Amino acid sequence: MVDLESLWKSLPPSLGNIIRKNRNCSLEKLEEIRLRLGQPILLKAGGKWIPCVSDYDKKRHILSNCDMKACISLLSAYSLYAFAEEIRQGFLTIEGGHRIGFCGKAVMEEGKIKTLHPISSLNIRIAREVKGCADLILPYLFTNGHFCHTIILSPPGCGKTTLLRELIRKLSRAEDGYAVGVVDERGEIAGMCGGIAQMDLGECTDVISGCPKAEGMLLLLRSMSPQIIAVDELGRESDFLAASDLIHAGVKLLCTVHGSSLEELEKRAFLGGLMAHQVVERFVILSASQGVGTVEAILDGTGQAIYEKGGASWYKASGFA
Amino acid sequence: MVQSIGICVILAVTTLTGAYFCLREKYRLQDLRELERAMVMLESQIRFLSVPLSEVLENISYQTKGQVGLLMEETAKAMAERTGETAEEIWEAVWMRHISHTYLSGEDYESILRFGKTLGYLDQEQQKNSTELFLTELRQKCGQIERRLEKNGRLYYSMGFLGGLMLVIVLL
Repeated sequence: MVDLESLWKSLPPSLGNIIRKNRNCSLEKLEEIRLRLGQPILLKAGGKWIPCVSDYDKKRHILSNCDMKACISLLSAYSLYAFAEEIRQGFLTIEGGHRIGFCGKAVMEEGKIKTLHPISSLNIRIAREVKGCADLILPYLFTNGHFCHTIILSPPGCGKTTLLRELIRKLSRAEDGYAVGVVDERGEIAGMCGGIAQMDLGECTDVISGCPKAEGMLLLLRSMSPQIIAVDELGRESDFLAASDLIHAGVKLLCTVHGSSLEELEKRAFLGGLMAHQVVERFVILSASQGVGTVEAILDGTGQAIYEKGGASWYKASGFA
Repeated sequence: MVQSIGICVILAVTTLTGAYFCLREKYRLQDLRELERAMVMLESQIRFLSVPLSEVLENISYQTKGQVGLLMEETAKAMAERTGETAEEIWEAVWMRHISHTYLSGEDYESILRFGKTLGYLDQEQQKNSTELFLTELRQKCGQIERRLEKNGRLYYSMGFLGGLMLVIVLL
């Protein structure tokens, strides 16, 4: 499910129309839009880059300075000053949960990036919810009726965040569900905009966004009494230390980690420690071998497979691709 | 009898003309003061809150009176609906529609449009500085009008009345 209307609202009408009425790419499968100064607009769909050809004059539209200025103005809701921190970090989440990546000349101050000016490239990543994609996986994440500490493991671009989001939605229910706390450091899970989650994360979810993962997890633990804390892409030492605190505080952990096998995870010092004590109870290993979201295996805390690849990608099963 | 009525009419018209010039300046001062108040709020919200302009202007519109309040409300609405490609475009369009309903002069209008050109694409520090610059300009204008009114306020009425009296004497 994808909300493109909010995206068209945030692009200059002239540019939006060119993309909407392009001849080469179906909007249903649109994944990314690349806007680079002096270059044609590129669209990504099905993993391939496609130049955007206008339906009107059958030509590639070359992005001008005026186009870029209007894009930035609209994407930042005419308020670039209000998104200084987001620009500094290189991305911004807009209504609909779409993520805008910025690139340009870095202005430095005391050795740190102060801002990007001028901005020369934009990467618009289309936010997509694949409802139902966790249906087959969810039953494996319970033992004796209780949710297990779970790590979703995959290389980049295999659908970790989409699966995590859907698991949160499924788990977060007032009746027979869980209170879920989400730490959304980069705005990828909830896509918070004006205090409202742009993605459906269920009815019992509290989101802390734009906050470092370790601090966010501990803050949620103190303030919102969650039963499950969900977090995307654990990587730093401090993240694993905070995760370890959570696990020992009786809160269930649901997180994603970059990697393609348990052996790789064991080599990472802090995660290896958690695994050695068999604290993590479920590992969901994803790949893109049969399309984005292929479940290679689901393992228990001892590394025993409780599910092995047999079906197609859940993206395909959900009718997306 | 007719002559007396004529004299009264001439005196009333010229005195009211004098009053009009005086009151127009007073109302212009009121509009500028209201705009100044709005800009002070804008500057502080830019400084302390990372909130988009549409929300800032909407908040300001609740606390600002008269045409300036309406202008802020309409600009906020247009920005929320993204009716233009840049903030400057929206600011200019809204002011153009409403300037005739205010007492502001052409010179004030030019300053307002100049400020509009800086809206939306600057970083926090620059946006704050441009608002401060506009505020300084507004305060200077207000100061000038106040001094002028203090000095010439009664003069407008007297000039109107005396001008009328002179006309009556000449006509008689």
